[in-house]
Amino acid sequence: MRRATSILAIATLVLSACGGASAPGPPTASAAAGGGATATGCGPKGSGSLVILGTPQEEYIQGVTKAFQTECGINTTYVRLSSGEALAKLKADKASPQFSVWWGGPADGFIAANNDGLLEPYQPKGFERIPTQYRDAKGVWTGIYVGALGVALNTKVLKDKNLPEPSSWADLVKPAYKGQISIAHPASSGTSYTFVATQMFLNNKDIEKGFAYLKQFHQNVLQYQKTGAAPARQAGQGEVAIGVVFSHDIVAAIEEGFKDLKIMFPSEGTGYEIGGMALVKGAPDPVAAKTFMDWAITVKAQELGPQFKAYQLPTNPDAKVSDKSVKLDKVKTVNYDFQWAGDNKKAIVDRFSNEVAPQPR
Amino acid sequence: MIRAVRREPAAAILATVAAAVLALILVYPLASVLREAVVSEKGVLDASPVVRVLTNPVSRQILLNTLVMGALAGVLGTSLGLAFALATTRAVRGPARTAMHFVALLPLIAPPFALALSTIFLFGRNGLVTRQLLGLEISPYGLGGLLFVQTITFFPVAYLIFDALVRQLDPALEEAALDLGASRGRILRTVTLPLLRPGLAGAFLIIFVESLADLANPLIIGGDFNVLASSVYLAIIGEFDTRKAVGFAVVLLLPSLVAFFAQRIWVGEDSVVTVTGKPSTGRVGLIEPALRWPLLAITVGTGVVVLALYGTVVAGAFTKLLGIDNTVTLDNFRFVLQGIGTKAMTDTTLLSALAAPIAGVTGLLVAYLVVRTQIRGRAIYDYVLMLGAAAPGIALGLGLLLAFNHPPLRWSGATAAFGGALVFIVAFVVRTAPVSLRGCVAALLQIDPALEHASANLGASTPTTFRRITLPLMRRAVLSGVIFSFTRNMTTLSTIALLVSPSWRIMTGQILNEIDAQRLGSGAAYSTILIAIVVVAIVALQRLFGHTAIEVAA
Repeated sequence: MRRATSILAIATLVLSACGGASAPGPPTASAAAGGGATATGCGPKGSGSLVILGTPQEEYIQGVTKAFQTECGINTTYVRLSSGEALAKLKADKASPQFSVWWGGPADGFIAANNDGLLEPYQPKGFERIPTQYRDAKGVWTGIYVGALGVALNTKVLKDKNLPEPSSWADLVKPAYKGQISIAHPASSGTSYTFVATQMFLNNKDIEKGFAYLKQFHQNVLQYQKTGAAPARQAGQGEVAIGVVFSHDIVAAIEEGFKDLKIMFPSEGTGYEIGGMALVKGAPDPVAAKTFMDWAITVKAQELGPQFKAYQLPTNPDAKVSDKSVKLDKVKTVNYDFQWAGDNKKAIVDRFSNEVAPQPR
Repeated sequence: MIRAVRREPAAAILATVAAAVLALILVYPLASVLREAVVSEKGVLDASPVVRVLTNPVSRQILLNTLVMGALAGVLGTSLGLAFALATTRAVRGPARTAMHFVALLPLIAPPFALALSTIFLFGRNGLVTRQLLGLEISPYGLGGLLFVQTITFFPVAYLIFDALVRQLDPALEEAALDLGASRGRILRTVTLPLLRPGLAGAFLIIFVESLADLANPLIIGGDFNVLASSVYLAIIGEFDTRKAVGFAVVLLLPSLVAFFAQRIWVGEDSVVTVTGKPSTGRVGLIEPALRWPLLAITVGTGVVVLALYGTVVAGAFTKLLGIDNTVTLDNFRFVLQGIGTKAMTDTTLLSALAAPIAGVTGLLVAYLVVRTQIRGRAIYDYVLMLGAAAPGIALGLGLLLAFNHPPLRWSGATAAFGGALVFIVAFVVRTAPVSLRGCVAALLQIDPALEHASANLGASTPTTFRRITLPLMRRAVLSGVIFSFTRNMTTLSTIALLVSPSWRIMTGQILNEIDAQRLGSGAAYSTILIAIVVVAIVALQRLFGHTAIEVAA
């Protein structure tokens, strides 16, 4: 019997090995946790470690969390999920939230999240400096950047295929462009939902007419991507001629070297996003989360974007605007009703998933 | 009699522990999937998610697509594997044989996206070969591209099966036919191929299962061709609709399990062809020139494609934007290593290395339980552990997500114990322990129990006998299991695709992120690093333990 325990010992050792050895847990850089905090006047640290749910490009989230960690001495890790994915994840974790802050992605998603009772209003320090159209009046969400939806055109592919350059939304449904359009799926991507909602606004919120357009548009789509910015690079690579994507992501793609790309803004007017940020209801660490949110709308934090190829416009009017950013007043925009887009997000996306995406082409 | 009494307590304890562990890490997750499929949020019996997949025309098409893809990939992969096995044993020899063998095994260590990625680079709509060299307008997005990539990815499995079979065929049979005046073509048709028939069925079914479970390729070049595995993934990613996801997962589980266990029954217990010990003359070249040349054309052609695909991954990693701007640069590596890449490398290697011995030992203990003890229902242990290999990774991953996302067993996610590391280790172990189990069962069957009886008769207890007699004899089998486990852990995607953690980064998950964002260059850099880690690890382990590690990777 004594010997018998040795097998048991092996078995338990095997099991505990995984626990014991990985016990050091999150090996995040903590060296930065040193001075910073008092020098820059960051708020209280809370538990000293913060988990962010980020929606913009990974490079940007990574840069911003690193900068925050260095400056405020709070260990900050992140998970990057596309807008729809993030909303779904928050909903699934409602009973015991894992994330404290949701940072980035179109405000429509935040409005939808708030309708589901997932957010906690918080007005970060300097809230009143942000223009009223770029924030929720009660502080349910606060805008951190703004960007217009654009269309990426690969001029070389269009020329090779003898296709005229499209210049409007109406052009994009012409049969000539069959299989030449790349866009993300609105269920996962906030970018794509901005496009879908834009079609509703162009039809005066007539959902039937909007869907009639989307069904035609679907005929020209090659494959729905998961992430909103991907179509810019897919068009850049020449796999398709046209990518529907936020204009700042096209700027970034051109910057990366996709030199055949060109930005087009459809003549009917285009939609735009206000990138939001919000405190998650029941956040594991609301104190550190608020410190982060206060910091995120400071001039310094708002000017970080271009360093990480994020060319959105900052919402803080004092922050410097990169000359690579597309100024919103240079672009014809639709009358984008964020509240309406957020309230109808679930219904519209469900309908898209069931009625449009599975249509044969 | 005395022996039986002395054996039982140890065996009983082992059996109890094994039952508890298997129940926790395998039965519970898979049961969670089933439960979610048949019990609604209100707690009433409601199998509508499964019914919907089977009745809704869109989902039915997805099911049909999946089966068509699996069957065609099975046929293509099996044929190519057979061609390679015939070529390496009957058409070439010497260094050419070694080279061909190596190339045929190369896809086994490919990270899940590498081949699809380079297929797009080379044969995409703007591909280097198809568009820029030949001026063709071919779109790989869809069933065609999918089958191309899957065939290349999975044929090595068939090759290894046939290679073992062909080598064990007694050449005397073929020689006898030759002496009786049969043509070489006729011998191949009437003697050789019939002898390989168990391999045909086995290889087809294994590739069928692998194809069904494939997640990465349908996501990248599936186009409109939706399959069940990617539908499970997208139902969670886009909507976190667990009911919808389990509907697809359950429908995916069925054909996978049926095919997997059919293959086990068909092939029988681990001894496809036993070594007879009779001298084999090993005469090569028993093939007609009329057959030899097509065979060589197919295999050499495939070899060139495999090498080109790998070369493209590396080239993509070292150029700015392959095909657009071919400036040689280290930027992609800089982006990866300065970003989350370094952490992903160390995290993934650490977790894989931790899980590998656990998987090896789990397989060993269950094998011992099944082969050497008299515990009632011991065969059930074998079948339950095999579920880890039979169930598609995405279904298993979904099960882990459902099972370990709530207190008190919160092993997954940001607020989990150890930052969610446990669930990754469980995923790795569950997935790879079955291979160790098969290896250990085969090894145990070859060890004459008389050795152990002798030890027991001399007064050694069961654990002592196990430690001093059985274990040393099985060292090789366990090591193979450990090496296989490490390789698989490093390159697996489908099992971990749904499990996100801010504290632990898994390389394949990061590659998926890069490819999702269409940052193909950094995706290629990640893949190159991953391939390098796997190769270095295999070579190092081979040096340390001195046997052909790569052979076990099937």
